[in-house]
Amino acid sequence: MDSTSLKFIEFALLVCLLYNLRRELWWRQAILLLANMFFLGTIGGGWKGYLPLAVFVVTGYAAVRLMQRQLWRPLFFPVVVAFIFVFTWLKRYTFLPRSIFLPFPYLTLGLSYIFFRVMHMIVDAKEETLPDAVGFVPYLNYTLNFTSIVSGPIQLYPTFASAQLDQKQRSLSLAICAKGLERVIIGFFKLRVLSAIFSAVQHGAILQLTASQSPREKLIGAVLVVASYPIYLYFNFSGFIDMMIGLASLCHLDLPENFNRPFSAASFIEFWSRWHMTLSNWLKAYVYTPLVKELMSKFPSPKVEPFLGVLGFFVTFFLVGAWHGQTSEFLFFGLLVGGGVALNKLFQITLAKALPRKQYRALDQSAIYIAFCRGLTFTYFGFALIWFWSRWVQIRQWAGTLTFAQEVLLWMLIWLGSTITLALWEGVREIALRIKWDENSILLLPPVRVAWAIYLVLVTAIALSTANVSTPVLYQIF
Amino acid sequence: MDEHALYVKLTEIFRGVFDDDEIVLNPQLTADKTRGWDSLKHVRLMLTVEKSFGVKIATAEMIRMKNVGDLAQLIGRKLAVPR
Repeated sequence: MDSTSLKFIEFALLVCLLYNLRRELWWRQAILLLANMFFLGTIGGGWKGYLPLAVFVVTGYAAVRLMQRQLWRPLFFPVVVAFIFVFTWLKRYTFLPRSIFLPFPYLTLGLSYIFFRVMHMIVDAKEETLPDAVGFVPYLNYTLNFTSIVSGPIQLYPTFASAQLDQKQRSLSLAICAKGLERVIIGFFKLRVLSAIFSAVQHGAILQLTASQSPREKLIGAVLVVASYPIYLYFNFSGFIDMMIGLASLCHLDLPENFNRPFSAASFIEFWSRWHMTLSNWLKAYVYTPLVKELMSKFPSPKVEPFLGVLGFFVTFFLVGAWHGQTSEFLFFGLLVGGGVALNKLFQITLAKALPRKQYRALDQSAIYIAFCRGLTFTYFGFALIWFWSRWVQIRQWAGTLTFAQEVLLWMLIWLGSTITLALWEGVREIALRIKWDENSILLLPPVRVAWAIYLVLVTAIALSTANVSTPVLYQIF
Repeated sequence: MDEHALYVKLTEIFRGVFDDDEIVLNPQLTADKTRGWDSLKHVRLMLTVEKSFGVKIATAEMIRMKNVGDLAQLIGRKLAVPR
């Protein structure tokens, strides 16, 4: 079942209806389990294809339960290493020899997200912060949840458990239903209409990018190719997440937010606290913090501390990038992401040392400086993403169509264009939110939101009926 | 250790970590309202708190902390548990 389809929404709404028919815990857990198994059953092939995933999930449960017992905690490090190895083996990372991979096709959808969920449980179990003994059914409902197995968000088990295992489940109010459905409509529009438009813009520009074009045409084409992809990716991924958050809320699954207006970020560091937030938060908590803490214990000098942070950022955000894929292009993407964050941190450290405190703060709060930083962040993200969506051979081919001067001009144009566009957007947004009716922003009033949702439904219906383009969720392949 | 003594010790730690003698703690104080409290300083703060109070703060406990009040309550609970 395609999780971006109307069929999936119908399925999810049916599950929510059945889920809310009774309040007993056993009923809710049973409905969720059946729904999760049913959804899994629609996306795989034969029984053999499910075997590796099943073994991975069950082994994860065994590891969590082991770590919940004092006796087995000395095995923590080997358990973690083994689990990471099994994950990279099942995902067929290219740094492993091909001869050790399983010789038959199997389901890997959701493996990455299951990995993060189980790994956090293993760590928390060892540190005795998991709530009580974890039951197998709640564990399955948490790791295989049909609303978040495909592309996240990465929810932590205690949040899942506190809502789902509550004996007295709160009833589904009209307000929750309305907000949930509104979120689904907005997400569906972003995914099926907006991301399709920007995907078409990029593909069209790529097809036309040839050495025989005039320099002006080549430059415009290259700008479209690079600048449209981040926007496409945002609408594609965040649209899907909006849908899942909306649907999940109808089953009292309060999934965490994954995006917070990422193109408003004024630095690459800030960008990652607004884009795919659950992934970067997970890695900050379970990689950055323990790593930097260990380094600070070994190298306690205050002079070295900022550089330990830079190293911590590099490792963490290298993993953010490299996690996305198994090939050398994704590893390079990881280097660019980690390198970008590390350089950003170094720049902040250097600037803070070079300028007096008041001057640094004044610069940091200057609207023009923020606008240029915002544009630079977008530009660098667009640059790094090239290794996300293309292969080395394609990159070499496209690079060959532009001269060095044209490439410099390309990046300057994207920087300037995104600086102006994003600054205008922030300004328009601020003005629009200030328009008030009875002291509330008019855009957030229920009648306006209902009218907007109806409008989006109509626009989406017209768009799909005239050009029903399939828009798969890109992040389901990770 | 009573709450007052805990906050006195925490204030000393915060002032040392952030190199700012004017920091005044209150339970609602958060990182975004404190100059210089970024992820790196947060790690230094947790390390210093652990060493000063002789406690261990788990990853999940660090994630759940929203403000200084949560930190103080966590330390209080850990100190109250007999070792």
